[in-house]
Amino acid sequence: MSAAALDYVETALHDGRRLRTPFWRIDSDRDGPTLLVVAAQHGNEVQGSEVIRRLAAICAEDLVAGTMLLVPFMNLLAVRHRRNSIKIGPEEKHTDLHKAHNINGQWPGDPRGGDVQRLAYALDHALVQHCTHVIDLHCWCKFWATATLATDDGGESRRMGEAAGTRFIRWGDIPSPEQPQLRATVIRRGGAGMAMELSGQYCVYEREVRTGLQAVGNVARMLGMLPGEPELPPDTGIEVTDERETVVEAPCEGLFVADQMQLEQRIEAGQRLGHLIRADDLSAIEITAPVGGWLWRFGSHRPDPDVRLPDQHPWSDPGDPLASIVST
Amino acid sequence: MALEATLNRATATLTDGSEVHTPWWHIDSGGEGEALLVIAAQHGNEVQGCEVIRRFREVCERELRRGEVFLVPFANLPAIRHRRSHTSLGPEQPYGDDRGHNMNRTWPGDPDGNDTERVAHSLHEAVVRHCSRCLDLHSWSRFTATAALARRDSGLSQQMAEASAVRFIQWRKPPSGQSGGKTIGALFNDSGRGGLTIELAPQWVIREKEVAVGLRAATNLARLFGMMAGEPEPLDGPCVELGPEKEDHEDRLHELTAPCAGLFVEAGLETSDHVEEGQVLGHIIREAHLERVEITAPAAGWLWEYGCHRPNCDVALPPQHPWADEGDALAAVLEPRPEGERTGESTSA
Repeated sequence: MSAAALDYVETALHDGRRLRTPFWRIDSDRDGPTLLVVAAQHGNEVQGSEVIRRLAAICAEDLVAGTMLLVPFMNLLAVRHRRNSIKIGPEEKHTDLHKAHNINGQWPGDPRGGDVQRLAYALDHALVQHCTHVIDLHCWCKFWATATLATDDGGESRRMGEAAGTRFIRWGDIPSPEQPQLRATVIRRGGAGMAMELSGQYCVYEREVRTGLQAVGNVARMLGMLPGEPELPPDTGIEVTDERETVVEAPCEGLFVADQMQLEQRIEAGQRLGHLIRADDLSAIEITAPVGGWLWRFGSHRPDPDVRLPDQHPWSDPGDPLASIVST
Repeated sequence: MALEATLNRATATLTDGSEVHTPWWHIDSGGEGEALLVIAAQHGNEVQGCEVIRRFREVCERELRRGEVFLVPFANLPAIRHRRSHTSLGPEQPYGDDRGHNMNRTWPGDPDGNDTERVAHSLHEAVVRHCSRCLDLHSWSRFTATAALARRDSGLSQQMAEASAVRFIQWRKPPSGQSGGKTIGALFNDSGRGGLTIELAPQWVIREKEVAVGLRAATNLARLFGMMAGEPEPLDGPCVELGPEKEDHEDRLHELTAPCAGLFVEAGLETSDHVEEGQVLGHIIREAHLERVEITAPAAGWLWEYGCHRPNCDVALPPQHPWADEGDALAAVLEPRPEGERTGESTSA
């Protein structure tokens, strides 16, 4: 049994204040990988924080090789701001301000930069530089299914993605030298990494926490850090590509009333997905699946549902996405 | 023989000369009786009632025996298309910044007023003035339980609330003046007709559970008024009442706030759920030391509020964030009144 030791990374902010980022370190006292698991680089993406809390308890009991570095609140500044990144204001996204303060575009940081660059620099020196593998837990909007974002390096990063065992996986290429994301930074240094997007921001759902915990545990098992083999449920690792995806769009203006379905569930061609109450004559238009496959996206939404409540509104304009199905 | 709803439209001419055609259904039993109005989405982000009305139409076509029903699922189409409560609101602006565009402060509307007043006036002339009873369907944030809002000065409003079979009833005082504009509920209750408002939680979504609650309420009202056969379907368990004065419920309301800063992780409960004393409601991952701080129910009762939230959680995402500062609201458990006691019994206009 290896106790989880609480420690802090200290960052000197530009106004002289010091930020203390808490993390757990769990040593098995045996050789092995150093796996860094982080959550909440973006302040509104906090489901991974609970994943890490539960993982710490498991590792404290069962870690058999290597070292775990667990950071549930990677970007405390943004978490306290309760938005994706510091400084951004109401319903802002994809602005120059966001780019400047998005911590996942700042790695490996800068000790003389703004607060976010300083934070990234301190975390990099204290933790990131010392890991051999990284899992970066994010969340995207509630209309999109959980997915592993994996790197096909033909080696350890690929094995991590395959071991995660989520229903959906998206593969990316080896990062270029100029990519400033955390995962890319670790891979560029010769390490391995993957990211996950859990479904739903501004919330912590039990189902997502379990999915995240299983995926992270699977990777730790694959690396030999936890006992046993990865547990891969059936129908996992379904690759999401544009060619495999069929988007169901609103045929007219109206209110989309979704049937009770869950992201990731199996869909048959012709299956009912919900109905649209038309704005002009109040008739109910049934919405059905044009193809069979797996429910990848579900619910009427527009481009920025992760920052704007109106973009979560079930009122649909013609052409708004209502669902997306990935066929295999 | 089944009745058939007729589709109609109320037309408003807006200040720029364009027109809004608000669709509504009318179902006439052909027999004497009340004229029940069911209206939803006066606020553009409160759309659960729209689906309630679509389903209630089918019930009425099968079961209406007396009187007539007027059904307006999209009362404020401009606000719905704006996807916010009022057409005047911008990013994360609270309801109160309505600048005269809160439809539920405009009744009976004004044909020469602003666009919202004009839409209300068109509905009033085409629909509302013909009705003797009103069920006004709204939605509030996901952190507060679905509730019926009613007045105790009017026998009808009180009867309607009690027949609705909604778990929570929040008794409200009659408006003391007209400075804030008139709600459709006040329009009915002030004129001796009966009005009831139901807040289905939450906004920006449609949930099967809430639609079922709203549909039962609408059907129960039709039964209460003899428009459909049978008695109102009762609630499974006690009705839990609040207000209108704080002292009416403060000894039964147990509010829980965050004891420290950190991430509140809910325990999978929902508002309106029953909880036992000592039941785990969730935990906080404390910022300072990462330890788990358990949050438990201080008494048995019903979840009136649940989830970490702050003001304006009905218009913005950050106030819905589960990151709690010390003192932020996490939950409120409300005990029912002991049998034989009534809330606000002495309050009458």
